[in-house]
Amino acid sequence: MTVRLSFVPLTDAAPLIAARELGYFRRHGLDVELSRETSWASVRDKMQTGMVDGSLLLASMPLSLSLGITHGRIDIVTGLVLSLNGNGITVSRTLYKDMELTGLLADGSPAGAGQALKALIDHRRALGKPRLCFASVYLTSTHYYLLRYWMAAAGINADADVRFVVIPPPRMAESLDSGLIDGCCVGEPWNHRAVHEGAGHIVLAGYDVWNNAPEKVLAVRRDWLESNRSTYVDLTAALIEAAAWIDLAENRREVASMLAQQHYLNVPEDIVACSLTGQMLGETSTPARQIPDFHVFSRYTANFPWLSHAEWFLTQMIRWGHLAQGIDIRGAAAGVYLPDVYRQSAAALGIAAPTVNHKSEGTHSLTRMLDGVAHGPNLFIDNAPYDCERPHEYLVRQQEADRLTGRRERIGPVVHAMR
Amino acid sequence: MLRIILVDHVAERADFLRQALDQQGYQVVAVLSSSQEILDRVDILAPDVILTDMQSPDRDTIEDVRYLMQRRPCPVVMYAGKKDSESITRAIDAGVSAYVTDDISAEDVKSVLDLASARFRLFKAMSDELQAARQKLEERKQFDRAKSLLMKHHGLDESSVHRTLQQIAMNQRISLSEATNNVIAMLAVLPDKEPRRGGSKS
Repeated sequence: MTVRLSFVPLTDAAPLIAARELGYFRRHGLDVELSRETSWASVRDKMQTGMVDGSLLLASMPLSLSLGITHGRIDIVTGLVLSLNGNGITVSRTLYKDMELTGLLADGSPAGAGQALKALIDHRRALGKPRLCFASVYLTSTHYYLLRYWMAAAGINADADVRFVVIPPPRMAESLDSGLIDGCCVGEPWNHRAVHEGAGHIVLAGYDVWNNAPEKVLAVRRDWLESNRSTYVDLTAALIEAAAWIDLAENRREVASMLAQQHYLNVPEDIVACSLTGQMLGETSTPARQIPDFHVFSRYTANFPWLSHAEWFLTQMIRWGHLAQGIDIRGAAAGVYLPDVYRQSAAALGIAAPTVNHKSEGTHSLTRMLDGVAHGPNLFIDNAPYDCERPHEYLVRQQEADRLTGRRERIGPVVHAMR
Repeated sequence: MLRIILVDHVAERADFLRQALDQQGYQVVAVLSSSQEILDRVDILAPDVILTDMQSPDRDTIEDVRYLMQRRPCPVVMYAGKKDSESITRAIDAGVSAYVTDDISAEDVKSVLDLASARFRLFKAMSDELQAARQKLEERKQFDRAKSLLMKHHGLDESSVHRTLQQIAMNQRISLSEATNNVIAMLAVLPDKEPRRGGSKS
């Protein structure tokens, strides 16, 4: 049976591409056609009209599409996560120079970037300069929520002081170069593409904002899943196996070479290889920063659709006004992320799956073993934990902090004038 | 007269469409071909329809600008070449949007745009109605919840509940809906206890 899947050219499309190139789909009796799309809107259209049976989506999108945030509701579900991390926050060379002048970037720590940006924004506001402009790839993208989280954690009142826009990933480098945007959060290889072209400087990995955050999922329409259960199980079995292969460090170079091809990412292999081999490039004179978990495709229970992850996204959607306050977070998450469907795929492969659907996030800085399975580092940049039993309280606490940030920013200039 | 923004980076195709639209009496207020132009000009130009290529990488930018538009958002109508005819047929069947193929006649352009506008207006009206109905239902649910809490903890009867909530709303200069939510937030965290008998507190 022919299955059609769509993807947008990003490094974390690797599980789909590897499953095809290395014959995993074939081995499970599937003839899979991959369709490369130029926009998330186009991916969504093809899902909705049945032109494709499934697609690689941002981990937040099955939720936002099911809840009809920017478009009519589409009944999309996911039972398989295909990658963690994989993003970068890149700023223009001009902004980077200004951030350096604050003196707060010197130690190279992730926290320094937020402090530098905040100091710079405060300075620009005092001088009456226009707001900085930051881009993500979609209104309800994981990238947008990482950007907002990072800025709020740094004490920045982004609603007042930052303009947010959407730019397609392949245009990020030129947009930074032309000054259309000052910074962005985008998936690889587009951060390193910008560095290669001298258009930008990566100040942070998405990994730094939230270690091992879910990034891409395999999404299908619910009615397709229900009519094609056994095909779905075969499909996900192939992808789980491919993901395990590409996750190994010794295979990453080959993955880069596969992805670089014209009909996939169409980006030079050595640019694609940077993040895949766990490196984040800085200035040419400085050594690359090593981030072994820059891309995670399989380890740390990466493929399991944790309901706590879905619920976290929902809290952030409410936090930034994409969803109404009163929404049933638990109910909405459970309707879209399907852990039992994952368990069925895992059972078919004879591999273990977590026995619970929720875990608390942001609670440990080191890898640790739980029920015999390694869980990677899991901290948010502000060290705030997410208690999976209390999503509502978590949200209310953040909203209170956001309100205080907003008030402090407004009061600030008045106090200054009084001195 | 419908004001149209055309977003296309293929000059020949944009020219063809602009002429066809002009002929049919539409006002093409701009032809945009870059992210910069979309971000700077769409909201300000206040179009009635945005017309763009189904394969355009600018679709996500356009949608984001639409979502944030100060004025009411407008439909996005998409077109595609003949080789995408299967996409077009399916999209029309699914009611996603109206599509124009690039070998279409000027008259067909008009009927497609008229259809798109009419369909969009209908959809918007239905969507607004649904939103209002949901809102009302939610407020009704909240009211019932506040009512049962007030009866439980303060021994109020049905008619007193509405009066009490209105009084709170008036005193604090907030809406009835907000007063209802505040009462729920307060009373919902109280421990269960014997309901007060009427007369001990009014």
